[in-house]
Amino acid sequence: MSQAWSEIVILPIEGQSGPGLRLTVPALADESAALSALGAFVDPVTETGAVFSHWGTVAQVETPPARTVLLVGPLPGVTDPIAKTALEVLADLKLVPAGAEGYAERLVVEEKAAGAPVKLARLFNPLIERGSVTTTQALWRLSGEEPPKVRLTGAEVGLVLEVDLPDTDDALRAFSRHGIPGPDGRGRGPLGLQLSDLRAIRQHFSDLGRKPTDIEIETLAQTWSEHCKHRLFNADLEGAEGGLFKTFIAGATKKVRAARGQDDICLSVFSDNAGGIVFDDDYLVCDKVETHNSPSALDPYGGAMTGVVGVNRDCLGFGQGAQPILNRYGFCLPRYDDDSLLFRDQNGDSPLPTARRLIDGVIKGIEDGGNQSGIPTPQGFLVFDDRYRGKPLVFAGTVGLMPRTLPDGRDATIKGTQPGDAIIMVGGRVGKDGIHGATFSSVALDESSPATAVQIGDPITQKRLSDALIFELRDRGLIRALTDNGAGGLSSSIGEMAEETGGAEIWLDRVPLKYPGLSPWEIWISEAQERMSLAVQPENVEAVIDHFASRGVEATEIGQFTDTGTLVASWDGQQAMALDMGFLHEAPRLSLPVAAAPVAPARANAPDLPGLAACLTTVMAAPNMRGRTPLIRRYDHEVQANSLLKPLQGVNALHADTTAIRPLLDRPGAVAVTQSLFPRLTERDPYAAAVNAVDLSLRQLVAMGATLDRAALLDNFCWCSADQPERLFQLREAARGCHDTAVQHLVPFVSGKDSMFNDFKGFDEHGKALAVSALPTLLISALAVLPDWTRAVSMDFKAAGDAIFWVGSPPENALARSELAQALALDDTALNSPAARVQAAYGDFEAATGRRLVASAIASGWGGAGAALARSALAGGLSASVETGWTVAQWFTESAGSLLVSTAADDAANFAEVVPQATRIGTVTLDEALSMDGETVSTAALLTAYKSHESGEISR
Amino acid sequence: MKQPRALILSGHGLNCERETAFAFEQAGAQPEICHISDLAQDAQALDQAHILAVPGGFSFGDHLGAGKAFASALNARLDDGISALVARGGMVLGICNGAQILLKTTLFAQAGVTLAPNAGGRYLCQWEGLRVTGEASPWLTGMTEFDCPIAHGEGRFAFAPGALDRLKASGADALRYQGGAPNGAADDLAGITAHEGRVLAMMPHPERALLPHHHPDFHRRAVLARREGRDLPAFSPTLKLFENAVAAL
Repeated sequence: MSQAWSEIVILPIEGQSGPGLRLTVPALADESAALSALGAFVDPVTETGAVFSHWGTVAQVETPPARTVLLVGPLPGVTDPIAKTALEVLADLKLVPAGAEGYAERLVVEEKAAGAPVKLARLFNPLIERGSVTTTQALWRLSGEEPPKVRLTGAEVGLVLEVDLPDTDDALRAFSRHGIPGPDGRGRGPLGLQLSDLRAIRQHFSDLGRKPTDIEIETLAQTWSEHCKHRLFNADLEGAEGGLFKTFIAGATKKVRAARGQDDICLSVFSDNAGGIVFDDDYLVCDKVETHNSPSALDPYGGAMTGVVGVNRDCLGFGQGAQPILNRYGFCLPRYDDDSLLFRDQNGDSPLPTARRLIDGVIKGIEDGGNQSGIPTPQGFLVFDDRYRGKPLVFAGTVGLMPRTLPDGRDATIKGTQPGDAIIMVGGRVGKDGIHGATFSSVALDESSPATAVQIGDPITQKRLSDALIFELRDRGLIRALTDNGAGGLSSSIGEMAEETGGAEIWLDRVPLKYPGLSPWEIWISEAQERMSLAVQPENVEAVIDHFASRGVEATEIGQFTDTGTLVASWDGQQAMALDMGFLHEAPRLSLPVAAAPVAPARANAPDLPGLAACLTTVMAAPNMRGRTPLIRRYDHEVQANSLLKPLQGVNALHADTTAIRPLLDRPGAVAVTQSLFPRLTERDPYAAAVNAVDLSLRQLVAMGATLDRAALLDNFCWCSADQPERLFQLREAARGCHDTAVQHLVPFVSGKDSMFNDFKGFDEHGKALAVSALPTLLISALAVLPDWTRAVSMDFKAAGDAIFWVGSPPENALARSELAQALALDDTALNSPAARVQAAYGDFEAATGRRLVASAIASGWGGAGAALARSALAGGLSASVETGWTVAQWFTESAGSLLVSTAADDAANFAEVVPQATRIGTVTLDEALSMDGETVSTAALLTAYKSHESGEISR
Repeated sequence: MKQPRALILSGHGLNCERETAFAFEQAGAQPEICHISDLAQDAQALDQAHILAVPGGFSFGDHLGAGKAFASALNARLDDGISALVARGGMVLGICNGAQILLKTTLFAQAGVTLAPNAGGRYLCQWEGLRVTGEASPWLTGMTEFDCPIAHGEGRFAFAPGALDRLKASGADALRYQGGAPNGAADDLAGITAHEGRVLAMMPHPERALLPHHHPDFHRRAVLARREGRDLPAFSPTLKLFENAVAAL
């Protein structure tokens, strides 16, 4: 019997349905210690507990009721936040030594008496957890099981290997795909390097007259990865020589900034972890939107959660550190009732999560990541399409707030690392988790995708780190520079920071580990979560480390920045890496062919459509249009008390396209955020899809009262098979659409992130090979600063008798790829031509909101004018009577450039004068039905359609 | 008292300390945010405080059940200081995670009450109408009904046998949800008191309902007020809860 461990078991008492816990902790000394532990851990109203030790048992009940129990604990080495908290509490009570280790298992107790078999597979994820079925009686005694430990042994542990790069191109390709061979001959995981990269690396080391080490190869693979360096987005393409980023994204920003001149709002674009614009004279706001598609495909919960806490760190790592003030999310998902089973391997041993587990998991991951971090999450979207079954798209974004100048006078957007500064790693420890995340997300998902790329977040560790950084240390001037440890881990963060000084030296043997036995290359590239890297002047190192310690956060000096021009790493005093900084940061440029993708011609005749009422009801019930109240209410959108324009608006609480916050309650400024995307249209006309997306995002900002002279854009290109000429053509056309529309509206892009291989290659349940590629998806996110929060306008009609206006040209007769076309399975109808419709009406409308003439406004987007009218009316609990003379198709065309607006009857003439592009189309009424061009549509029926699936697929 | 000192705890995942401090400041108190680790080292701020607020958040990630770990730290280090504050007539407020924490301290010892996971099994962030009930608490003087958001996964008041009757008999059943408890709380309770009402533990967040634009009906109200030539008040009625604390000292 083990004398080393005590087991603390907590069970819900009869009639309570909560979870239970089994904690394995260093042996408690005696009965008094056991009682103290039970006092801290057991809620006497709902729970009962016991401590089992080699010296005996202290139990609050003699025997618990007999129940079947599922026991779930993290796999060895996986982050175990419950055990961490339990041991902190016990150490605080002086019952175990500080820093002691233990293990926590969740108990899922069947509510009825034993008998029903527990459906194991649905209740835990075998990639990160282990589960077993037991009984309450079996748990009510000392099991004697020791906490599982990671024991890393093997020929290569602790070694730095020299690597022989193969001679032939085929062998180099295989080397890139499978990774550096370990002593057993098996590859360590994909490097994702191009053939031209490997040739360049081989040449570089041949010139140096030595072989590369494994760390050097891994570092180059991380740094040159698609994920970190955006090779495809920077490649030379026909029509975009110099690369898409430089030509169309940064190119647009350059033109916009020049045109804005003195009124340029950009303070930091493309060079940092996020993009920053002016908030007011003293503060700036920054924004960043990340994708976390590959990790979410394997572990939906962990992938989405680390997506949120990861992008939070981009905000914390922006400039001198920004305070996260808003989270955004976005999901492109398969249908909830998609029952297909997909496998990464032919034998069916490596299943992808089912559609249900995927959807439940990513929703819960954003919930826990955001809520536990105390950051409001008001803004998001949901898009369902079968083509997201192989790889879902999971977007997570964070807006931050930072003073423009620090108390010591430094410009807060400047990093300022100096040679001689100490490198301090702060936050979680390093383990095998998240190894090859950056290179893994740069290739398609298949059998060889490494499961260690999955990461688990621990938001509370990060919250402690964040509080100490933003609220305590930043303004004291103790930190010279900081950045996030994200993709690529230390290799990426130190590599980037070292660019400023021209070198760094890292002592890998000093990096604190979760468990012993990691090899130096693993320590260097691990993406273990909740870590940041700081540059600290030597005289401040002790103060910084001590302060973090007082907050329960580990900080360790692991090296120093230099100006030697070389990135050096040592291991036990031996040099393990010496990479030339110039070579490291100059990945060979790719040059790639593009070829126009064939597009089916539109059919000449307009399709026969059902009546207006039937079409509108269909659209309002469509999966992408209907309510999602249960989801929105799971995300805390009120924390920080900054809510101004909520995700649910009007008396009937309809979900909104745009939300806004007031981050400083003693200042008048506000920040509005929105998103849009047209992925189905991208396949048909990528240029039009991009124009539509940029225009809709900006129009949604204008609708809520923002002005475009203080707006900024962010791009996320989530493409598929992006090395193919047809996909590159679509990518180029989409980027060109972004450029043209941003320049037209004079709104800069300030940040972006792309993800080029959202492809799944695997097998169905019969072992048949299949491939599912995500729709090429361009997400446009936008933000705007309102100097005066009282400009904000919500989407709901406010009062009967108000005048309704259509702002912009009448919609076209062009339904292609619209929500109505999707719902009715119409395809290849005429396409709209958004570029021609993006009008100059926005400035006039901005003037109208400035004069407080607007009672409600909504941009006509998905679902067209029909959905815009229905949403404003339903949200306000009101109805409308309108006459337009439009065809049914015109009501549902997703045209660019239009808004649906209501004003007080007394303001109608004024509004029409200020906005010449406005056409009065009707009046807000108290009727029970919308009257639209003579047809009536019951608002109760529409509300039922809208709410029809609310409690269904997205609430579980 | 002219400007009482309001001590607001922070650390280990509490996250509403700044907006709670703002609310007390607007009510005329002098707020001070203090990390519990600093307070455990030096309890002077607690000894000088007139008001103690434990704000909302996710202390220790709710890993062992909401509030347990933070309450353990309070009980181990600051129990005497908190008891002394109550004994000298101070006011104590726990909001959301703060309420979950307070219920596990000696302030509510023997009350037989806890906050259990929501009946629906889900975290809920939504606005609720609240009704003041029970015997008058100095926190709620002059208040009858007000609106606040809730944002919690473990907000269901649950009682040991007989404890709810004892609570009601003592008049400590301070706040109820007007439209029925969204989380399955016993007797629709949203907040309860101890120590003659000077200690209030409530799940809804009054500090998130301080300004008119916090309210979900704000934009309609603002449009209609403009038409009628009225100004909306600068603060929501909820400010009174914080002002009451200042007035009670």
